[in-house]
Amino acid sequence: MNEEFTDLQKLLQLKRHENPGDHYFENFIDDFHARQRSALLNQSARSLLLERIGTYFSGGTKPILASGVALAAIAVTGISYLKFSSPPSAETLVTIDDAPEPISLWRESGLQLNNGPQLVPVEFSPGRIQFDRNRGIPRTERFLLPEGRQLIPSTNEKIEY
Amino acid sequence: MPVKKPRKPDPDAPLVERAQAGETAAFDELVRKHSQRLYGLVYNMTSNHEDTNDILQDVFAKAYRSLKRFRGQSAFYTWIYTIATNMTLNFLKKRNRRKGQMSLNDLDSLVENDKEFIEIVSKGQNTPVREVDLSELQQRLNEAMMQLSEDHRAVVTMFDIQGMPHAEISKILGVSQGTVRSRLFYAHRHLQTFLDEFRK
Repeated sequence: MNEEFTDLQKLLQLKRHENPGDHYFENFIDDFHARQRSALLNQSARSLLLERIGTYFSGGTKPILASGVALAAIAVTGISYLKFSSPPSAETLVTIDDAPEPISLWRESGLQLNNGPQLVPVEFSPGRIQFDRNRGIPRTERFLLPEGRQLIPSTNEKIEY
Repeated sequence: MPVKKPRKPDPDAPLVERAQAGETAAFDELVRKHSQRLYGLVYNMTSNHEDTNDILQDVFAKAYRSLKRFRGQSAFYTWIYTIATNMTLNFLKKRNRRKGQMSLNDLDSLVENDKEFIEIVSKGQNTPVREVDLSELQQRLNEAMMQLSEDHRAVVTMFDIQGMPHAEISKILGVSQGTVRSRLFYAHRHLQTFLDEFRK
């Protein structure tokens, strides 16, 4: 082993002394627990439900698994129904961002094309319009936003654009 | 006929079993036991403390989620090292696209008593270090490390810095021992060239 190589190894071994400080590892576990809790809280109700059903039925037979999936589907449908049938509140109203001019929205015509539902433009004159994000836009008048536009939360009950 | 050497029992096995049975304190103990060495692995591959902290937290979170699937076919230490190495390599591939910056830890005070350090500085005229400016040396070493490819950096970190044997590195990286040796050879040659200006 030549001297240059030995020196290189000694230099590299000095990197063992680059340490994050005395308290880092003492606090690491606390930080780990805090992140675990935070991740758990951020998991959506839907994924939690699926995970719990999955855990409950893990190790079971196929018919049991199928029942689990069916149960999950029913539960998700129920949650969706509750979500969309809740009464509107000021906090859940949304408006279209940055739209001072009249804008075109698109409505499903009811016809199904190869690439999805046929869309027809609907012109809105400047005026007042409100959407309720929880209730969603009524199914019979399902408007789609032009590309690049976003629905953003608003505390105003009536929105002018 | 070659005789297969019996594997040594995994010293972590009792803690792993308890953690698999749902005892979170046992998993905490595994975290405490391995966080320091895993920190060294990730830090020396990223040269960035904040990135290391995030990756390490993710490594233990992933290990916790996957613990039920751990069947003890390797030591727990090898298993979690493999997770850490793969997650760090994936992270580095993404970070290279946005050119990460170094965020280095200070050298601890023990460096002054380190045998290697004393040997380096006591060589007088023949010192390999142009002038013993520790922070410059640290910066230079890290720059040299960052010049290596991720795969080469991984073997240098495990072999030269963490003192792991070739066989263990080959298991963790899933490559042959020959590949480990060859990567080390090229990495050393590259590092020697890069660090030449520190020699007199």
